[in-house]
Amino acid sequence: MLRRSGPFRAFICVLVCGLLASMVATSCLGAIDVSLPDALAILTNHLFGAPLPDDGHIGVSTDNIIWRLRFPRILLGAAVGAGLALAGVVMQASVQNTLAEPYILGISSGASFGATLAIMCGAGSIALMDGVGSVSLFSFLGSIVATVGVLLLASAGGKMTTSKLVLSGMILNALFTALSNFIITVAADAQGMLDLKFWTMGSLTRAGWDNVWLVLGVVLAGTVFFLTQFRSLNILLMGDEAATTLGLNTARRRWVYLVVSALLVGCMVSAVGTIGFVGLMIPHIARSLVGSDHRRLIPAAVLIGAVFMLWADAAARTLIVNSEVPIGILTALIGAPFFVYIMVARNYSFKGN
Amino acid sequence: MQLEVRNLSVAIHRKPIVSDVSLTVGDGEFVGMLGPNGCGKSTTLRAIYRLNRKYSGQILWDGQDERTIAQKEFARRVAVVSQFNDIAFDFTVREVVLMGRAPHMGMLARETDSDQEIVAQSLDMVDMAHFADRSFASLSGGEKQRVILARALAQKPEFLILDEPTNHLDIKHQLQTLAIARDLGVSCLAALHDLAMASRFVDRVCLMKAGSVIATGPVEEVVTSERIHEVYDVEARVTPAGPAGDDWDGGLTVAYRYPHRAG
Repeated sequence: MLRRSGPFRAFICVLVCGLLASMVATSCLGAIDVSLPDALAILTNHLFGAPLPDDGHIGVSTDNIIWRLRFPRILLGAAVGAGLALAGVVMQASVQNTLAEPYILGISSGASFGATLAIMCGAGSIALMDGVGSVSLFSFLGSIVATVGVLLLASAGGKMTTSKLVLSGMILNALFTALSNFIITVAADAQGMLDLKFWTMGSLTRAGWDNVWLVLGVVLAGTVFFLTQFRSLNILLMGDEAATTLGLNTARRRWVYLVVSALLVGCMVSAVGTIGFVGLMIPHIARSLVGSDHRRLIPAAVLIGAVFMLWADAAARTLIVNSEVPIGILTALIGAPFFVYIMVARNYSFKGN
Repeated sequence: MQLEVRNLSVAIHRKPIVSDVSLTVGDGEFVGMLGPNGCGKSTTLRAIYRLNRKYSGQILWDGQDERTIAQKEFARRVAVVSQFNDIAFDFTVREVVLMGRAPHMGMLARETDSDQEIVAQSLDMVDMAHFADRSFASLSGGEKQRVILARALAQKPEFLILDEPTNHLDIKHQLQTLAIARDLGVSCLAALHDLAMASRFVDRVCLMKAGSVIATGPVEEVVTSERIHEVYDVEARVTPAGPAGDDWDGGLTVAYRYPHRAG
């Protein structure tokens, strides 16, 4: 039904409205509750210069909570949700496998190893860049190494299969996690332990106006880039042989797409750590709603991913009083059963491709 | 569009699979490749449609070396129906056939009405018009095969390559597929298994055994009892399907006997 252009447009409008509404609604939620009209007033005050209510019941501290703490976090959350969903869609098309996802293929842990390396070895001072830049760069390099590694491993000795792909991801995950742990242990650094916890469990707590722009920019640019590639992505799904006979240089396209998604993943991981399964669940849900055509799948997956992440993070903030559940734990708790569902209920064949 | 293959040899994992194959397909000609399993038909075709470019020899399209033709340009002129592989993703039948228009479109171009028209015609030709909005994954093997043929037709090629296109097809759609290939008016090269079926459609056959072409020419000259015995190792009796001039003309009836009887 949503495959036709009329209903599809309506669906995208609903999603956009849902995203905006979620951004406002989730900014009320957290350790300190803020009422919806107050949150809306603060946001419109900062965004559009609308005056705050005259009675002056909104104090500076409430303003700070909404505008300095929660809103950047909401922007970052939406960007990361969208970016992870996009990376999942693109990686699934590139390796022609519905189980491909940054976390499962070990690319997130490669990126998080890169970030750990950058922080522990003080790469920030060597690379002549500010902290955010160099951590992102190393994180990107880590995700590139992991991408190349998982592809080489999965296609070693012939055709790439699902089981080889998932196993290769597992191997890289174990390897990079061990390497990160090794660095931390050698550094014997209490702060490092906390940092590592951050990278491996994923959290949006570090969001602030200083680190939101890079991720937001990269995710937006990535979305625009992949939207222009919709036809090639569709053709890639038909398999290498068909794609070649339909005029696509499949090998080159695959590498370009995977490098760009590695860039996305590296950027996101350096800001929020590894958040698993979002890139698996969201594309599946989006595909079941709008079909596999990337012209519709990309916008749908990006928007659903953003909304999902906003509410997942709101849950992470509010589930435990006076504390936070790292969001990566939450997405894994939802994502692992989802993985089982895809594997069992969808009768996914691990024998073939 | 003409095809000329000169002294083609292909080795896979250093094992020679095809050696010194030469063949030609003229403008509008329908050539059938025959031969037993593993004789190198598919390997030859895969080199011709550029899936395997590690070969020695020359492949010329209208006299131009294939190595100098860009992939997208090639896809505008040559369409391929290969032995079908299942895909893990689901598209509607219409979306799959629409992909056949991709080589003719710019990266961001939208499908025009004429593209949609071509897709509808192509689906109609293979009797799949009423399935346009069905999910491709829900189709049977034979139906998928016909959709892939429709996708190739939507490419509006000047040359059609078919690798065992009648696998999975019932008798009506075997006839339909080969009739489409013959009546399309473009050159066609097809690897086929059924000798009798091939005999009623192709202009010329090219008989392969163990990686080499051992005979090429009109069906009646190439498909004989002796050759069938030599190539397939079975006894066969080949007779014209009907007296010259009637509706059955142009075909052969092939009867087999297996295992061999002594004497």
